[in-house]
Amino acid sequence: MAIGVDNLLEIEPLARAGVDEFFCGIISRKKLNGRPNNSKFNLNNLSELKRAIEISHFFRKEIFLALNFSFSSDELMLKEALSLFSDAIRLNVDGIIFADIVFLSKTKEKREKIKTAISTLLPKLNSEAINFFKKLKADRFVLERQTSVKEIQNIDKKIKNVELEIFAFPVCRYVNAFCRYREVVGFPHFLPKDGRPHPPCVIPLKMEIISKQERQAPEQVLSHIKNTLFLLDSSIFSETNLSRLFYLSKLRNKVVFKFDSRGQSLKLKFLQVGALKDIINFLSRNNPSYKEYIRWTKKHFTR
Amino acid sequence: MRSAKQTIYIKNIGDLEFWTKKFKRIYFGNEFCPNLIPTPSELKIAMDFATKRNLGFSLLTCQVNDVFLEKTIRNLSLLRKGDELIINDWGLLSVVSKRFKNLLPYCVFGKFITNNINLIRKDSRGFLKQYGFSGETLKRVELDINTAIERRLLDRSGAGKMFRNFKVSLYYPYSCFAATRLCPTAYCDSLIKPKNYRSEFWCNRECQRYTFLAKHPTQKTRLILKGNAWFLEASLTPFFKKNSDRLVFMPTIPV
Repeated sequence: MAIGVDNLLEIEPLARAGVDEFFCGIISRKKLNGRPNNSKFNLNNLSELKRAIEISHFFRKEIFLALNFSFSSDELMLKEALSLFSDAIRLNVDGIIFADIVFLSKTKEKREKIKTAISTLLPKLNSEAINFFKKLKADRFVLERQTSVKEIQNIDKKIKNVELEIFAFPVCRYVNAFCRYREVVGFPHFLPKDGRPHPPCVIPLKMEIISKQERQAPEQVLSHIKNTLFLLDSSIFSETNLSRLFYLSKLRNKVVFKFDSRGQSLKLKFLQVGALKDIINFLSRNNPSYKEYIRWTKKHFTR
Repeated sequence: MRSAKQTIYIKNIGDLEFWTKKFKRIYFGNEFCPNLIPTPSELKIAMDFATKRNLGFSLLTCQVNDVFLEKTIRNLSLLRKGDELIINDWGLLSVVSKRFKNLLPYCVFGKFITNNINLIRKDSRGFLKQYGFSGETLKRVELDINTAIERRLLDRSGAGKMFRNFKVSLYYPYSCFAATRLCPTAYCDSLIKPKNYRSEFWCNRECQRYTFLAKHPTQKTRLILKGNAWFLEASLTPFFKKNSDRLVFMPTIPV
């Protein structure tokens, strides 16, 4: 189980709550990871990163640094990323999360002692794509939020000796790195008050059908579209997510369930970690059938 | 100054009727949904159409899982020397570099990869050369118009560094700004929906029957939802007309 942290004080309680590893970003001159470049989502500086690594290692947990941004033609971004990469290795970080293919290629020889995770921003929907990144010495693959259980099982069958990082509760249904709704419609992605993810697309739009070949009443069709438009089931207790966790916990490769939680409150992180920990423990100790598992979740979480 | 070559984007063989003599190349296929990948026979029809009229031919491909990757590979074996392949998936890139070496000089990275701004950099050429890519692959960039506008702002050079360093194929008038693999349109008009239809990738191609228009109460922009992708309309500015190498005209919404 991996969780994103955005300040030092969170690491100890979350480690004690059962989190196995952490990931974090760091504020930099240029934006170098997939979250806003501020202290709501990132550690403030290298000395905080150093401290975060020390605390994590004290609890025998791993910590990854997210440098998962696709660097534009601005060469300063790549330079800063390379410099931060070297600093992080010097500070004994356990792994780096990548999303820029050239950055990945340029650091290939320097990643012997650390883990290399490929971010969702570099889409990997099939086993060939994973093989491609494996040749660049990547060993962990953060799978896209929309990857189905069957697709993940298929990848798991074809690829050996990798770590698959999977979102425990995928929220957004749009292809990673390919939503520019914010630029088009112009709303902020994160609520200014608590910094929680707030995709602009949840704002209701007025919709109409403009094609002519309708088979059903337009109200029915529009109601379907509005219900399925933007967000996936974000509740851990939805049947889709519970069944996802059940089947994905049985994969052959190592699976790390991930919470996309940088910028969220510690209380929410605790709730998510607690629920997932209970589920993982139940599955590993009892090896239940699917029916038994669903029955248990209903009983356990109602309580 | 470049004079842009006119190209037409044909999403299915029904759209071939939109071709006119001014278009010297056909982009054929689907970049958005694996359920809409053309069959080999459809591909042959489009290729014959291009051959008879002495047109260039580019095959569009989309992001695929393992099942649809096989389907895409079947189509690749039909491509002839000189036909372009537009790649939007890293797995397909890997397959081409291993099994279709004859296509390596004619591969171009599609919008789903270049929109991510990863490969629009001079230093990306060295990386691609390691995989045997050469020729047009290292020179051409596929962009939709909104990315081009954003990109031009990013360049800060005014004249557009990207347009100097690369041959740009610019798609218009529809610009995709978001796409998902979990299609909101699937089963939108079915009263009985299959179990798991929200988390799997089945459908009855409802996207070919329905198009939706969305508007936010406080915004002027009209958003179009077709199948699994959102589009907005954007027109070419004189700068893009002058500096693009290819203008790829979409006669219909490309899903």
